[in-house]
Formats: sequence, C-alpha cells, structure tokens
Amino acid sequence: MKKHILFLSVLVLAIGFTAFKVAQKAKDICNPVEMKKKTKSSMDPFKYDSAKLTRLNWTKKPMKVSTEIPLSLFGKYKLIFNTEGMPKKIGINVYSKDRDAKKRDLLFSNKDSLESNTTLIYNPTKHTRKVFVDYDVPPDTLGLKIKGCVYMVLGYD
Amino acid sequence: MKRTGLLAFAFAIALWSCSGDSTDVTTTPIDSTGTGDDTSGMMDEQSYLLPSPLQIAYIFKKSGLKYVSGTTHDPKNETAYSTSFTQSLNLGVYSSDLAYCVLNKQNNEARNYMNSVKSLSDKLGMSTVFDSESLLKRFDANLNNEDSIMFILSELQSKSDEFFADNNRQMTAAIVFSGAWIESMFIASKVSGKGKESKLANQLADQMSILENLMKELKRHEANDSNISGLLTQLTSVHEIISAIPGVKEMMESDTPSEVKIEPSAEQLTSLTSKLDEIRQSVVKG
Repeated sequence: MKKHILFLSVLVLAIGFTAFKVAQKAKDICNPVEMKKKTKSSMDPFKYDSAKLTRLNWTKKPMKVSTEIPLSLFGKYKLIFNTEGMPKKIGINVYSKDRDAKKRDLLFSNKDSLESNTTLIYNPTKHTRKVFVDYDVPPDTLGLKIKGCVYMVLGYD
Repeated sequence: MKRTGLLAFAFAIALWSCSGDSTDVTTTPIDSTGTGDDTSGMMDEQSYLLPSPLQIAYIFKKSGLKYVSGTTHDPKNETAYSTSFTQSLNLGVYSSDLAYCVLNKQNNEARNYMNSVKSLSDKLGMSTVFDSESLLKRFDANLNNEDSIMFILSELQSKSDEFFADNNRQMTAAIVFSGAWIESMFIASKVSGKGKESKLANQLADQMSILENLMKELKRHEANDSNISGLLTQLTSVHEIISAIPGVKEMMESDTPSEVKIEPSAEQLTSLTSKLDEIRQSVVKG
C-alpha cells in the first residue's frame, strides 16, 4: 500500500512539474528577434524574400493556420521554419493545393522529425507555382493555456 | 520500495526530458499523398504571403528582361502624394524602380529612388526601418557592389515586413505591394519586346499566382479603406485579360507548367499593354 502511495505521489509531482514547465515556457519562449537571427543563418546562399511570424494560442479545439505562398517558375526557393518559439510540437505540413481541393499532394511534413529539431527546411522543386503551408495545432485538453510562435521565412535565388 | 521510487523518478525524468534543447536539422521533402482534411469543429485561419518587389525584379532579370531607360517613374514626383493610400502605392512603385535599377547597375538612378523610398517611408511613419540613416550610408558606400546592395535591399525588405507585422499594418503592406506589382508589370510591358517576340504573356502568366494572392489579401482589407475597391477592380481587369490568353488556364492547372505554351493573340497583347498603361497612370498620378 505504501509503495503505491509513494509511486502515485511521485507521479503526480512529475506531471505537475512538467505541466508547470510547459506553462512557464509558454510565457516567455517566443523570442522573435533571436528566432529571426537564427533563421537568417540557414538562408545562405538564398536571399530573403518574405517572412511571417505566426503567434499561436492553444485552444480547446484543434486549430489549423494556413498560409498560401506564390512562387515563380523562374525562381529557386527555400522555405525555413523556426519552431523554437513553440513549447510543444505542432504539425507543419506543406501541400500542393489548398484544403478545399479534392486531392492534394503532401510536399513536406515535420511528422517524423524530433521535437528538438527546431529548424526545418523545405526546398520546393522546380515547376511549383504555389505552396500551401498548414500549421496543425492540437487541442489544449489539459487547459494549460499554451502559447508560442513559429517563424517562417522564404528565400529565393 | 526502493525500486518503485526509482521507477517513479525515472518516469519523472522521462517526462521532463520531453522539452529538449534545439538543434538545426535539415529535413527532406517527402513524397506522399494526402486528401482534403476534415476541419469540422476546428478553428481556422487563412493568410497570404506576398513576395518582395526585389524578387520580382530578380526573376524578370533572370528570365531575360533588359533595362530600358525612361520606363521608371520620376523619382522627384514623391512630393505629389498627400494621402496615405497614394503614398503607400507609390512607395511600392519606387521600391520596384529601385530594384530594377539596382539589378541593372543604374547606380545614380538607384540612389534617387532610394531617396524617394526613404521620403515616402518617413511620411508613412516607417522611419525606424532605415535605422537612423545607417542603412542609407551603407547603400551609398556599396553602390558598386551588386551583392552587397542586394543584401542591403533584402535587409530593408525584412525590416519593412517586421514593421508592418509589429504595427499591425498589413493593409499598408498590401497596398505597397500593389503599387510594386503594377510598376513591375508596367516595366515588363515596356521591355518585353513587341509582336511574336514579346515575352510579356509568359511573364504575366507566371505572375498569376502572385496576382491572385494579392487580390485575396486586398479583399481582406476592402472594408477598411474605400480606395481598395477601385484598386481591386483594376487588378481584376488585368486578371481577366491574362486568364483569357490561350494556355494560361492550362498552365495554372498543370503539374508541369513550364511545358505549357502561352499563345496570346496580337489583340490580347495590345489590350494587356494598354490596361497596364492605364492602371499605372492612375497609380502614379496620385
């Protein structure tokens, strides 16, 4: 009986501590200046074209934030995502068509990358005229009020 | 007893380690197919990324468009714009002219356009973008070094993007880009050659996805500025002319768009050129 009480106490403490850590990180983890600096170093030899900082607040419902990016057939591109400002992993998926399309190809996904990999790079292939970036934010089931940001930058050559 | 405590401790450590340090990693594209997602009960947000005028000028140069003197707007005219709408539009026009001159090594003209860009930026409350004149000094010092100038202009674009985002001025950003896009297309229409040799239709067909994003972005702000409706009407008319050119719709749908032939008639090219003239005229007159 004592064993169980001890185990449960440590478990409750551990979960509480982790939740506290996530909540703490959510407070101050988004540092756009630092994220932009780090992303720029991954850009070379591509030149900066445009960027978007997306601030995300977890809600009880899952959330999808989409960005449509036009590309030229005459250019080469590099799309960089910096997720350092997110206390928890979100889904980052790049598609060939928008979500209303009957069929769309998944061109890039962070599904298999580790949470610790905070710089993700996607090089669109030639002939790509447009890409659709979806951030898939899972629901905040524990009510931790998690918030953070993702910085996305497009480079061209 | 000890073992249970140890297990619980290990579990706690495992939970803690879920929030690890960050390292840089390059992932490669994957080749799988997805279908439209079920978004029921889901919160949604949609936005559109617009390119920089510098990228458009770079792409045009890469695809063979040459410099033709006298096609850009008079840099001295920046004093003629008194409303924030005309200032924003013409900040875009001058940004485009600046990029065109820099990429074609027209240094004196580039310097004049940089002054016009700075002056209109100041009027729009964007003086912080120029970082207390230091960006201008660096621009002057590096005028003969194309790589450095490109870097400085990219930095200017990055700072402008930051300014628009930090100050919640996405509407201004969309209007500025409208001016830049119109000026770039106007320049392309003047330097693309004439008749069958003209590359204009191909250039503009390539720009269709940018134009569509621009129109969607402007629609989001239409209710906040009465001038935007007129601008949208003008851009819609350009969109209609380009869409009617044989090959354009096919190119938009194709998985190998560069293989689709764009074959405009002489009338279509004339109509496109005069529409761009008309719109550019209405933008620069203020």
